Amino acid sequence: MAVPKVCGIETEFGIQHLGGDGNPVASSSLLVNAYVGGLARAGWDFEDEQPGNDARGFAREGALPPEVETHLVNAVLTNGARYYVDHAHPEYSTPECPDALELVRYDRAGEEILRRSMRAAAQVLPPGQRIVVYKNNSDGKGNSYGCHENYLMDRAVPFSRIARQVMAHFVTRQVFCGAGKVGTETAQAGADVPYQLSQRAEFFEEEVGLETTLKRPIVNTRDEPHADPQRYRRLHVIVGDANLCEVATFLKVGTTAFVLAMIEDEALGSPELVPANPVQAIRQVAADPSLKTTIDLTDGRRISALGVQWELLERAVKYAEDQGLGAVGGEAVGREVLRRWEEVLHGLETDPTEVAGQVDWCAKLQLIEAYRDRHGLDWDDQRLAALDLQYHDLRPERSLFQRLPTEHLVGEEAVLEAVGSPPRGTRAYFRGQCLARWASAITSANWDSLVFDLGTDPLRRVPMMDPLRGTAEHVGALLDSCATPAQLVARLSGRG
Amino acid sequence: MAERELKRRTAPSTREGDEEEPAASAQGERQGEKLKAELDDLLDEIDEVLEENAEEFVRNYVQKGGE
Amino acid sequence: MKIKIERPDEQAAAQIFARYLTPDLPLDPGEVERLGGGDPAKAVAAMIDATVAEMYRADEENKFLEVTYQNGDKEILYFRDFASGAMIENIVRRAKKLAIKRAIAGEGSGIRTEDLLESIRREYKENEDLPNTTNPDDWARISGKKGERIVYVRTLLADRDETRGGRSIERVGTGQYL
Repeated sequence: MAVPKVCGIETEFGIQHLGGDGNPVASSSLLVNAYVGGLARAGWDFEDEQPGNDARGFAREGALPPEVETHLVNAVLTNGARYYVDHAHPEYSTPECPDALELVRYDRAGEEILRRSMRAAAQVLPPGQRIVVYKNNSDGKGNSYGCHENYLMDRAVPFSRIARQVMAHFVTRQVFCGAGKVGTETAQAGADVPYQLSQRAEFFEEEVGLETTLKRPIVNTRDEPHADPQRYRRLHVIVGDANLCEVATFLKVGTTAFVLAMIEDEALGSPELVPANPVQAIRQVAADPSLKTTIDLTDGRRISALGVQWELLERAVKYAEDQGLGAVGGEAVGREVLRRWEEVLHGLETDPTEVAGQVDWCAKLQLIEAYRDRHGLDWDDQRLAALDLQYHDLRPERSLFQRLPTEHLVGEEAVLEAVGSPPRGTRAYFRGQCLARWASAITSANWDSLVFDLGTDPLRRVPMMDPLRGTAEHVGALLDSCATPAQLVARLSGRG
Repeated sequence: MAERELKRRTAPSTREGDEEEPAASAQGERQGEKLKAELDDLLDEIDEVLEENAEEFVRNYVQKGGE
Repeated sequence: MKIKIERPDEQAAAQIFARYLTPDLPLDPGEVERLGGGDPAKAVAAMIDATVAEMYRADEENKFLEVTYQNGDKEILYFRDFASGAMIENIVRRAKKLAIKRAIAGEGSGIRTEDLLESIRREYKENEDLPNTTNPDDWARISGKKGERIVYVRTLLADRDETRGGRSIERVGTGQYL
């Protein structure tokens, strides 16, 4: 039986400092600091603080330096997420989520955190300056930044098999989770392509590899499990676009969880679906919004991206019948993934505008086509590039996405709750709850450990090597029974 | 899940015990129509919120590569 | 740590080691036999080669710091990027101590290659002269290769959290909870 597909998304946001000096590292730091510092002002007590500790409902990750103006802030939040500056972008990593629906909620919470950060930054910036954040993956000039997914996998599965068997999905899933893009921006992509399904597809140059910034591979081999390395692998997926449509995020994660679970259970069946030229195929699929183009498989077949997805769906349905939905989010979520997967493939096949409420590239394309019609614009008109960019603007007053009647899967209240509280079904619950209760006693927080300072030597490191433990079920009663972190540490280790 | 065949390249999907109301696809369609109907209003609104100087806006949006 | 614009390369490091690790030191007889065919000078040369190779390997285990430059670029710095004559002297000194400890415990006498290898790790973990990664004022002293200002430093030393800020850390058992 496959390991439950605990999952998470790391998003690097595009950032623009209006009226600023154009140093994106400084702007990103200011943005993240403004948010994290704002939490401090929300009433946490600094009085009996030891310098270096933090009583603000968040902790710094790892053994990190004290705050200085120039340093890149790196915070772990009470919802279990990590919020920091990576390269020259603000980055939000959701907490580990037990299923795709929960991950949609925490991905949306991330958008809300970025919006709050923009507001907080506006307070500290000089008049006339503003930091603006975009949830997209490219600047249209050949620079791409990532939206990475992570999935928990069984270490016993050979990586080479994962890479071979997941490739077809990674090449074709963009038909429903591509975020859409006007034009092309790399030498590899043809200049005569007016619109692509995916922001990222044209940036991929290798099939399998370790890099994420150069020669990007479709399957990334980074191996940092942030968990017990004997038992688990964390598959780091760099091939996706950042989505705004909730259904697109849900399907991106939900279908990938299915495919990975099937790989793990050796239930993908035959014939194996392996693209003959994955790098060429992923660009070819991206460049064809008519969805008619076909790609070569190693067994000699030629098949459309939708054809691949229909085959994967058929196999997933069979997998659910044979082995249940335990590994893919449980009964309710697993079934919903299958239902929507089928629904979206139908829609795409019939008329992509049918799924404009679910799929980003369709929503954006419909908007752009309508605008083109109204104003009689050519595809190379800069106003279309502006529409594309502004689709991803996270400011409510500017966001074009927010003006579209797309379908929601989680309520606004649930999203707001997720800004401050962790998911209940993974170890993120323990992390977030400890930070909410005892941040002043936590000297560092990480994906797989918390270090407590109980005022006496030594510091206590609490390892969290299993993403599936530390849930509300595992530790809820324990946490409620502890008045102090010292009690917690004692009880965790079976004393007191 | 009951044994069923996925309907490919055919109009709205049906499933056992749910034949009259292919709720899933219909919902998607309704969403699509709703979207089309609202597009006109939306375009008016977009003309208002769209960055004034599109060319400059697009030109100034330059990012460092990430990841 | 003095800023050394030019750090010893492997060849220079071997020469420095040879200054401190000399054939007249008490060496493990087994190593002398195995590595030098009974010749202490040959054995020492082999031990030095092994130690330098270990110290200059640029791989996962030898990652030391990750620095972030002003422009957002990152760079991994390895042990070798901090090598110095003083450090090499310290490594030999530590190796001698390890050998003495073993002799006291009655587990054989003389310096072995493994003492040198172990000492490399300890030296990087404990050397007070290395830049203090928690102090931004020290970052300027890390000679990043790109010449650009370093705005952030992260420690990558494997097994790094046995001590932090001079305080020891104890791992808490977590039973059925985590």
